[in-house]
Amino acid sequence: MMRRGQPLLLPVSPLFMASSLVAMLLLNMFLSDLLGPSGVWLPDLLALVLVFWNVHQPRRVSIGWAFFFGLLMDVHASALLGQHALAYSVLSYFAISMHRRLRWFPVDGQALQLIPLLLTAHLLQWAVRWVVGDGLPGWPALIAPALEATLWPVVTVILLAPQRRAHNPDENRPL
Amino acid sequence: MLDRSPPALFKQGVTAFVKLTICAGLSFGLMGIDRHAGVGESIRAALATALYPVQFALRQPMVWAAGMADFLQRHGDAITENQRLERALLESSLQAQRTQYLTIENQRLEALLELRAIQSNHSIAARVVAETPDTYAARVVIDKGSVDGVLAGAAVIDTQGVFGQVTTVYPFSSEVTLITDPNHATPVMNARTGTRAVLFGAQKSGPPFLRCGMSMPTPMSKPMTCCSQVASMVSTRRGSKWQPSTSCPIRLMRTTAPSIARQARALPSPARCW
Repeated sequence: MMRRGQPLLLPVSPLFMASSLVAMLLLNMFLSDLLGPSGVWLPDLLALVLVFWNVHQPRRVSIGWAFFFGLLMDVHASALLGQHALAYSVLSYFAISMHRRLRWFPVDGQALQLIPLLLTAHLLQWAVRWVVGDGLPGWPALIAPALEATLWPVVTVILLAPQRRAHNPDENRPL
Repeated sequence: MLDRSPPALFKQGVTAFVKLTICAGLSFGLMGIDRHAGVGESIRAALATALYPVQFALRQPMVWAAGMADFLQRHGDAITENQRLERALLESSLQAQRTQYLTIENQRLEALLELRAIQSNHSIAARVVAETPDTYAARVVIDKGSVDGVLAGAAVIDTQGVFGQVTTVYPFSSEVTLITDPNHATPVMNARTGTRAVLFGAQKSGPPFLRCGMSMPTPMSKPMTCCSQVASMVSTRRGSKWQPSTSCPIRLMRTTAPSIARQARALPSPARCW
């Protein structure tokens, strides 16, 4: 069962999945180092790519991986240990539970539906820090989930590109 | 060969909800034990050590950029700075002579009172390599760790005076909590009157300033030069702005080399500030 007009895809390469996740972790680390605490509005690219693989390959990238990457982000950001891990786990859970429905929608519709999900992940982190007594991060933090949702179509195009190649390569045919 | 396989009917493995419960439980557990000596610290240290080579590589471009900016610093600035430093050196040498004299005198008096001699402070020079991305705390990362002899709780000073305190030590790097951090308290004493107070950072709203005891917001008028001056500022409640370079790690990296006093106890006790 699939949406009318949706192209058939090649199988995903596990190496590509792993390297995209690691690359986004590195990019996240680099950007957050560059901007320091003022980069509170930065989109969490790692979370976005995790959601992408949760939606498209829920049986390969699951909640355990989300937890592991969250833990790494916690240590790098010197945040409360478990803060990102919890947010990513919850994000991953909801992404997996809605993955069948989500894939019936066009990409912009998917982005729209992901806004509450991404916002929840951020809200969870703010709530955790607020409960611990660290206060709230300020209004610019609201930009982050919006940016993430905006980047969803871009991420979809890039990460699905390897699977959209023809399954029988032909030198004479374009694409 | 297409990416469509029939869903597994029976061998689905653990359900997502169970996985979520386990991961969320682990997360809450980690939050509970974080920043406590023992398990939390060791988990953090293990992961940080594994991440260190990556972090080191990622931070190099920023270190190079800072180096370039330093290289391109104007010649005039350097001359002015040099003149200022010469004046400062002159003042310091006078002070040093006086300190030396006082130390000798103190030793003599201590010998008279049969007190044990106070050991001089050893210090380790370190560089600030990054500011932690966590929005809620004022922390920086320095390039010396437990391998270099850094101990948790050591006080960190720069050319302006007390800078912060080492809160987390990893093998090759450490995290320093600045005195402007809202959760950090520095015991201070007025050198003249002997009034003791506790200095809290208050960075949450607006520009950075320090708050002194009794939750009275007191922006500082002068940069902190030493503990006694902080104390006097605390007691007189006066001033405008203390700039701990939190907004500009590059400048910090370029100009300051905070040296860490290698002391077993945390901050100096209020009675003996630096």
